Amino acid sequence: MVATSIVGSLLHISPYRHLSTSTLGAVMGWRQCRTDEGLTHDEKRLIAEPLMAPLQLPLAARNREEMLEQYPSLGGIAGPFSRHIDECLTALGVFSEFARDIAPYVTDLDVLTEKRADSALTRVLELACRRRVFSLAIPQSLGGTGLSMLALSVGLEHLSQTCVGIANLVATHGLALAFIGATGQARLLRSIAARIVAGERSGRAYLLATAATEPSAGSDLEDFAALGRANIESHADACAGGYRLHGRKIYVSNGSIASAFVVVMPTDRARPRETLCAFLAHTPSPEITVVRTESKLGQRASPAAEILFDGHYVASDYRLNGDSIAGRTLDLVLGSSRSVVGAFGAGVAHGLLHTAVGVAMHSLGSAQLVQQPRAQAIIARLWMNATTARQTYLAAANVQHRSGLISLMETESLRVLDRLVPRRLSQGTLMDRLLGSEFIDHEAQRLLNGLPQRGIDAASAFGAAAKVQCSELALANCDLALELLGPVATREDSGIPKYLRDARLLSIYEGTNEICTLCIEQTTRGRTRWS
Amino acid sequence: MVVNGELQELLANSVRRFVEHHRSEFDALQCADGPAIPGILGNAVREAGTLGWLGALTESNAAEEAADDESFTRLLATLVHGLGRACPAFALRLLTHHYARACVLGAPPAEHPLALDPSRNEWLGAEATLSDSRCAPTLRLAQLDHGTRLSGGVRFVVGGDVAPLWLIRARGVEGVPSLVLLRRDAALKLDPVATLGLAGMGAVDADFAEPGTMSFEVVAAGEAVPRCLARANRSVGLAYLALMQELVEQSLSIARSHALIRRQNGTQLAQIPAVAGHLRTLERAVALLRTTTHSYDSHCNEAWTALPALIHAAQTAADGALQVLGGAGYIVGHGAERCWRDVLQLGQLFASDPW
Repeated sequence: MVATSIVGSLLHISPYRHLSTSTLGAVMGWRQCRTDEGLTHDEKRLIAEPLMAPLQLPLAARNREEMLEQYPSLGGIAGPFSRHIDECLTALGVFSEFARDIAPYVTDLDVLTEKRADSALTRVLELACRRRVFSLAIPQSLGGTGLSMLALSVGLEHLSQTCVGIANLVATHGLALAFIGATGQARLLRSIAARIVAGERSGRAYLLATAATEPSAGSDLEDFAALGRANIESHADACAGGYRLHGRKIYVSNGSIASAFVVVMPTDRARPRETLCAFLAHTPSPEITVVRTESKLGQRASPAAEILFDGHYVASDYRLNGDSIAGRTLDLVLGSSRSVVGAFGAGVAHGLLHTAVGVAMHSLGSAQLVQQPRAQAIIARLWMNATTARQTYLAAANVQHRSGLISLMETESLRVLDRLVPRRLSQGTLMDRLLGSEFIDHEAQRLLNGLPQRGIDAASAFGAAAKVQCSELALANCDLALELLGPVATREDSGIPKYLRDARLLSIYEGTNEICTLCIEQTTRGRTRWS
Repeated sequence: MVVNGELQELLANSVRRFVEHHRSEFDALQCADGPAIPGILGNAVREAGTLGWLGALTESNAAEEAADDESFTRLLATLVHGLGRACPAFALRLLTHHYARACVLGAPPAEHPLALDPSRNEWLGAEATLSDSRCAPTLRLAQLDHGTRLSGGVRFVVGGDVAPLWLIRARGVEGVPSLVLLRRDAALKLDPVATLGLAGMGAVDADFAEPGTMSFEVVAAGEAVPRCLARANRSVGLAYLALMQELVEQSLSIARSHALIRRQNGTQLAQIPAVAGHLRTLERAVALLRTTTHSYDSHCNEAWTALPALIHAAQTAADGALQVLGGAGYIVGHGAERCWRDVLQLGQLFASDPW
């Protein structure tokens, strides 16, 4: 009864608003409706060709009312008339257009040989530049769109419904930016922002990546309490005017396409906890080699590479931190990045809901399936998991805004200033001199140091919880899709296996779910992990 | 239940030699495109036939009886378990063959124009959704003046790329569900089906544009269909569990050796509580499957009733293995990710929880 009611209500919630009837059969009408909306030839082929073409995903919210219908908890988080809702709408607009742009290339990136996938990736990067996806988080005064993390999370969730790999490509770039921000390198951030914006204008993406994991140290860096015993083999040797980076980093997302790396290495291998540093290394360089790009089970759109740093020189200015980044800085960064992985999980959970229902309706040759109580109960659970995942990451993003790294950029006066100060003024000589002075770095670092520890702990725990919870909900929806569709769900042309393969990585990267659980446990006991 | 131990040992040795002989083909299967697979497997397919693996396996003269024979179920399980170690997809092909064969042999006696002739060593393929009520048959039997003809197409025939005989479902006259044994035309266009796991199982789709060129017979219709399928389940159930057991054993072996070798922050991975928990889950799943296969009785429904729980345990275990491996296990070609995909795939085939 409850299940039937939830399934029925699915049709009344916003993504299905244009359906004319109140039965699940109407979903078919919805698909027809979408195919009339000026799709490209490739998009039509993608929909029409396979035996079990996945449905196109639901329409993104277009106004505040629809936004609050689809994301009811946003009302509580942001307040019904907050600028956050407008920013979420902007992000949804950009990412839903981008998702449409990339739809013809998603399958290529997922299943084709490396050479053809490379050409699809190049096209995706061009399209991302056209939509200015890589500068969405950059303040308007620096040429970006200036969207909040909450808005970006909502947008990335939407993109994940189409392809988590591409969402990860975008978010990995953001992770490196967060690293630079969390070390208080305001001047560097400004110069990187200028390169990103210029890259987008030229159609050649200036992408960032973070190189942290090593062959002998996987999750070691993320367990701060035990970091002293980590088997880290890479090291940064001090030399005249800077450092030389030595070592091999693996599973570097965006590794083969990045223009610059945030490289995490200790300056003293024997004391990684006390000397863990982050450096900014630019490519191309003869001392930076892409050893290989891994062939992954899923999320293939985001190339994971092994990178060899063979004595690459980095000037002192590109050492991002003063003291070790282990602990407070990593906590600030991971709190926000894990919250974004939560958004990926919610995206996968939603994607599975829509795709599984679509396949059940169109492809099994049995329109009665969705009328069966058991099927309805499964669909209801798919919906519940997807909705719960969305609420979870939104709550975590909200905590990031209040007490995490993002809170520094979220003060209302700063946001207003960012919008009101004309860009040409912010780039004027006086402003240049001010923003280019050491004062601005000191000020950023002062603000960072002023963040209360309690707040950082909360942001870190909420981020980790969102990552664990949402990835598990995504995996739960994988199981439910298999239960609903049976063998059909294992056919690649059903669209379900891509979600299964992609979702499996969510509980592994950005700190395994086990590491995240440890982090939550330590926080709930009120113990600061690095003390 | 008495199984001829000597025969079982002989068969196990035969499987070992077979696997050794065809190892390079099985390895090539992992990354082969659908259309290339029949060429790669050609020799193995022929040799399996000459070894007598497509027939009754026992010394029984009456093939119809052999399929109900406990000795047969044990021997088939030995065969599939041994093959599963080297090539789960090939093991699944053999399992599918015997599943289809048991269906046909369990059908009411009739004049079979396509009677299974053991001397021909012909492989059978079967529709993966044969006993799945979630999807309706896509093939129809139409009664015409000059006989019955097939229209529509078939989806997801496991082993269909190599097998000349297919056991498929069709909606009969007045919508009566039917099982149809079809001798496919060599000219029939096959569309390979890419699947999540068990790469090389030879799944294909086919549309019958010119149905008149193919001979077929209705093996069972109406109420006889579930009886045939139930008999087939009894016949190959143990082999199915043995294959699942093999896959989970592989997962455990990979995860355990990684956890013993690898250290995280100075601590052996196996000593970390979360990892130890995953290893325990794997050990439990292996124990559960071993206990079930050991006490399996094809005349008792208990193992079959427990099947969804066993599949769930196997999937949870394979998932845990991947988690223990972390990023390393997520790389294509690593045993852990292949086992994970294979377990998920096998859990949805033939013996999956029927609605």
